[in-house]
Amino acid sequence: MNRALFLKQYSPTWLGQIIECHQSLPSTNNQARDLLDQLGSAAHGAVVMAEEQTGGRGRHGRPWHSPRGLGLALSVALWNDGPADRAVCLPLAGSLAVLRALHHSAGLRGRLKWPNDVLVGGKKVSGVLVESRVQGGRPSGLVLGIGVNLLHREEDFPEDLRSFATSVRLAGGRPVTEEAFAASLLVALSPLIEEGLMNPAALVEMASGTWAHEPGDLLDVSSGEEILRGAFAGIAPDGSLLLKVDGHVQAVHHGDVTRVRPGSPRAGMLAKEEKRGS
Amino acid sequence: MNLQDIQKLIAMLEKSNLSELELETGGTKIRLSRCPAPAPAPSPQFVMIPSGGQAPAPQSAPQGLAPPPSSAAPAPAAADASPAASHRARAASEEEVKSPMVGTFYRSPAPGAEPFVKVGDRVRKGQTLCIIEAMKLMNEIECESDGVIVEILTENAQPVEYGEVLMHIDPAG
Repeated sequence: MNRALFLKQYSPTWLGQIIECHQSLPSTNNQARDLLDQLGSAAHGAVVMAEEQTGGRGRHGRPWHSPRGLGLALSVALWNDGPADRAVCLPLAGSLAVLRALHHSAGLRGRLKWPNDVLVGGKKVSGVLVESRVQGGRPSGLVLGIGVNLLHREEDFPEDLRSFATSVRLAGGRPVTEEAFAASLLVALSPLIEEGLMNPAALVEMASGTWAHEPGDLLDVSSGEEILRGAFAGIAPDGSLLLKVDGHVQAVHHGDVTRVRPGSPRAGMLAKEEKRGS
Repeated sequence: MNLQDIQKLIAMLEKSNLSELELETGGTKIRLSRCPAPAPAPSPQFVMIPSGGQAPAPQSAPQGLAPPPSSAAPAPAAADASPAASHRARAASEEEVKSPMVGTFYRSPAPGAEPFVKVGDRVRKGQTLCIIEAMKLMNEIECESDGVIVEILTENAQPVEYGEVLMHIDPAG
């Protein structure tokens, strides 16, 4: 990751007052957390990037596969001086920024799988994870972490991921460097983070039309060892998934959409793609 | 349909989580209803299906019903199994650890990993006590003061409401 090349394409605002570019790190999220520990609120807007993570992780400690030179791992340190639940739509801000950067820098149209996986052609191209520390009602540090697959060929993914994962290259996007993608991502991210912290419902509104699910699609949402099954009924203003289960619409706040079956002929093709990619 | 059949139906209804059963056979129609009807929960309950299994009809999986949010009256069976059912006398000095948002409570950093804390553990200010997850926002809830964990009120991987008390800590412990 070439810092000078990146700065030719990105002019730092509040986002990027501190910029760290690394060839390799155990985890960009951990590095951003260290900055928050050292600097507190002064770390707000610090960006940590790496071409390779040796200990990258997703939800519940699942490993995030990011070998050198193929993708981008980017974490932003943020300071939340409001209530902790103000940050609930920040993961969505990250996903929307990836969608915009994919379109702007690679010409690809992606879709969101709830809550915030970015899919292209039904396969996952990017994951977003936000980690925060909360101590009572005190202001707290947050880290918004984004992983994007850029140049992976099929053989670059572990065998068990090949049917679910894709990259900008595999999806037929225009060739894009880590530096160019990172610049595009940060330009998109800056207003989305601000909006996400001020008005989460506006962010959810912006995301409407980008979901991979169609009303009536039958979704399985796994959480722990259990699966909740229901028909997609939309996304609530707080970003939660609305599922119609046994005649009642209920809001789901956590879990992974693991299976999708079409709810209408119009949705059939998309849902089939989704099923392969989930 | 004879009296014995009806008794069987009543027994089936009692064993199930159904509130009402209606059957029409051979020109006879029977409708059984629990009385009084269960109070409606403030939000619809989750119907959970065991992972990897075939989809049973929702009403045939009563044991899979997740406990309702804390504000709802818990079903007796769920209350017996939940640590929240204990009515331990609390010391005045004990501090409550509350959930800062609607989400899911996790006691450990990853499935199968050791819990962050257990009852009886001595904890220090800033130590991670649990995680509340909401839509891939993972909130590590940190201890506000030194003390001893005296009670954990929520089961792992259960939904929690905003402001719900998760643990009690005795700072004097």
